[in-house]
Amino acid sequence: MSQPVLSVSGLAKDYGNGQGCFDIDFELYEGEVLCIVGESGSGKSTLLSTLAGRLSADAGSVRFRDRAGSSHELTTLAEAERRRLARSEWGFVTQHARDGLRMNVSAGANVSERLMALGQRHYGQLRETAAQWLEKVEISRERLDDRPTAFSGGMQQRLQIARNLVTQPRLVFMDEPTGGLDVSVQARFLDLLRRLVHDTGIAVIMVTHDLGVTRLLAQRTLVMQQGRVVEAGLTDQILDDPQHPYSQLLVSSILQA
Amino acid sequence: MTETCHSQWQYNFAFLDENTKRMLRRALLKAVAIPGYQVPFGSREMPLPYGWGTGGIQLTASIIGQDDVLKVIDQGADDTTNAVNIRRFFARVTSVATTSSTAAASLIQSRHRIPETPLRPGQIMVFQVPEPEALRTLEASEVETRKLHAHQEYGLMHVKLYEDIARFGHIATSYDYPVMVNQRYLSSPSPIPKFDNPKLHMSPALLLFGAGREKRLYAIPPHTRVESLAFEDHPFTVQRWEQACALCGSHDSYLDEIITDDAGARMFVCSDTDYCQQQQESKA
Amino acid sequence: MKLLIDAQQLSKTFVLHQQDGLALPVLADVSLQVAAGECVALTGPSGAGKSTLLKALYANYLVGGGSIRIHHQGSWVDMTTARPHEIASVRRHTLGYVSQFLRVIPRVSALDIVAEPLLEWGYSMQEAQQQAGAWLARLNIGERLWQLPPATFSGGEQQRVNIARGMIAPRPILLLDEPTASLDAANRAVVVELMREARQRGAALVGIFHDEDTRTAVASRIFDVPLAPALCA
Repeated sequence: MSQPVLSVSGLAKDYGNGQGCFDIDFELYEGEVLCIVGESGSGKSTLLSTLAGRLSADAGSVRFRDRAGSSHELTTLAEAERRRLARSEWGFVTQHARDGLRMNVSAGANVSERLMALGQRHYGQLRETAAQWLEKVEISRERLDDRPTAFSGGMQQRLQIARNLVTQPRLVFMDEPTGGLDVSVQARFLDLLRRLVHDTGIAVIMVTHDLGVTRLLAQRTLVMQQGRVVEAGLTDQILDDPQHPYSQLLVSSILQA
Repeated sequence: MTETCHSQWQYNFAFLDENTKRMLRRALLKAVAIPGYQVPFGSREMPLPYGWGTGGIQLTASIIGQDDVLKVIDQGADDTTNAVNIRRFFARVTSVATTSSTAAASLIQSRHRIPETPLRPGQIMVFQVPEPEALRTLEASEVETRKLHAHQEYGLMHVKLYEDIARFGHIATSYDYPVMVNQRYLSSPSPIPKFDNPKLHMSPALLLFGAGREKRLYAIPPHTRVESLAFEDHPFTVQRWEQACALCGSHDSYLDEIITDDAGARMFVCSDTDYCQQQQESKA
Repeated sequence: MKLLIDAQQLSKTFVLHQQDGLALPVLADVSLQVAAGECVALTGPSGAGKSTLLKALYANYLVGGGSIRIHHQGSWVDMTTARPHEIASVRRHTLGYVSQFLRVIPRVSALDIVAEPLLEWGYSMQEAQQQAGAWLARLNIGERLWQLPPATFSGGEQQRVNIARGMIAPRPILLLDEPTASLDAANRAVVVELMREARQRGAALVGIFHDEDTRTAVASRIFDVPLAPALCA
């Protein structure tokens, strides 16, 4: 059986007042989507940022296996190495496009940036690659020179996906990527993501509070409450047979809507 | 140093006190040791407003000695307001000899140009720099840009060049064109035209850059590799003119376009007045 | 006789935390073994836990006690203790589940929905779609519907798409939750035939068949799910 892309054990980020996340354990494999669900303030985003190295962990271990098969302990990784991994092996899709895109440069430049950071210096090839990625995320290549400010919310999120996936990362973190989108726009985004995960074999860790999103995309789910994982397992098991009082509340509140 | 004090002015030699000069020299030594790296320094109040060359003046003041011959240019010209004022300032506070000849100068302070006459070993050029951070227009956070330098993450700079080509069909940045110094630090060459960028590469002279408002200085030591950024399929090129200089007939100097009357008549002349003069004299 | 499912002493109690921790025992001490080529029909009164047992075998429901060993790629995997990643692998390669209801995926065509399990098995897109077409044709889904997302299909059509998706990959074990519930006689006969073919290729089938004719037609054995003694009565 293949090795996990990410192995997390005993991970904690302690803000000191009971806030943060604690005792986090899970493994994530290639092609898997893991959703982290829970109410606001449950530590979902803290966990995501800690995993991505944007916050320093206070305890525990996060092991990442890169494309070449070597393993990195992210909690003690030097920042230079972490940034190298962040631009070649990871992606990060934010809820608000303006946090994840450069709004003052064209879509093409947004998509090309990571390639240029990795040393690609052929304008024509960069442009062609960017155009292909726009098409993959269902944006016409005609829009290559338009700025993201001229895009709708759904297009901006798809542009973020293209910007992140262009370097074929192994692992993509997503923080409420469908948060601000209309339902129909959301469906398109989710379907696209589902296909890209299937086609590219990336692993995804997504924070969401939408159990519909979880059901559609994620094989695996973590339910968080007050900084701790109260239930973890296969998504269908958690949604169909939730064990923890909080999971039951979450499932009954949302699915009845 | 005390013998050089000009008691009638009540100022120390070269205006700055010795401790400030020492601080600046230390920073300059660090800058020379790490080509292209921006060294912070404690910028002093100067008798000129920020933006008029206070960074360059402080650098010049910290390294000028009695044997130096100083040339000051602004946009290539020795006779423009900024150049005249700064030259007169140093003449008063140091009594050193001044010149408009590039060849005769040991120290050249410049705003926006490198002289056409090739620099020689032993010369020092001091550049006035309004914005030392080449990445600033793309990344507003100083914390972040310093990290980008530390980790040599310069993909962002190419984003700007990419945008140029996407919008104008070519790299439209024509001055302050970003360079890689010693294959390590991305640097601003100050707002010199990109025409002058090749002169930075393996220059026999020491090149010093000072930004007074931003409180940063940096250096390109002699014989350092300086590469102008570009794309493989859009290589770095410099400006060329169809016209020759209307005064000296030069075909290979940087030309300024001058409107000569209200009807829009124009002429092209060398921006480097000293060079133009020499060319005219050699023809005469 | 090659055993493929070995479930021992299963118990399952639902605890409803939103109703003051009300405990509903559904399964108690249930053991079931199924061999290759068998088709076991689960029977029992409504609420006896037929569906719960089926879902427990699929690890969709968590059991409170007991073990569920599934013969997966040459070795036994206990679904009650396996890690999620292993369960996913067992489901992908060994254990199929066919429910009555299709979970529609927005914008994905019927053909691609049916072809997907084969892609996971490593088939080429062309071959997977070719087989998917054959399955849809056999289940009387007209070719003009193949490229449409099934969201707008009738209930019966959606159910047949779901059967095709659930059965197309030749998994060694199939769990079937009323696969023929709302089908007309002709389509029911097709599904019965498909289940027979699965048995013939050596698959083990466990199903809930409310329709007695279907049950008689496919089941090799009846398993009466015992009623759990009411623990909290």
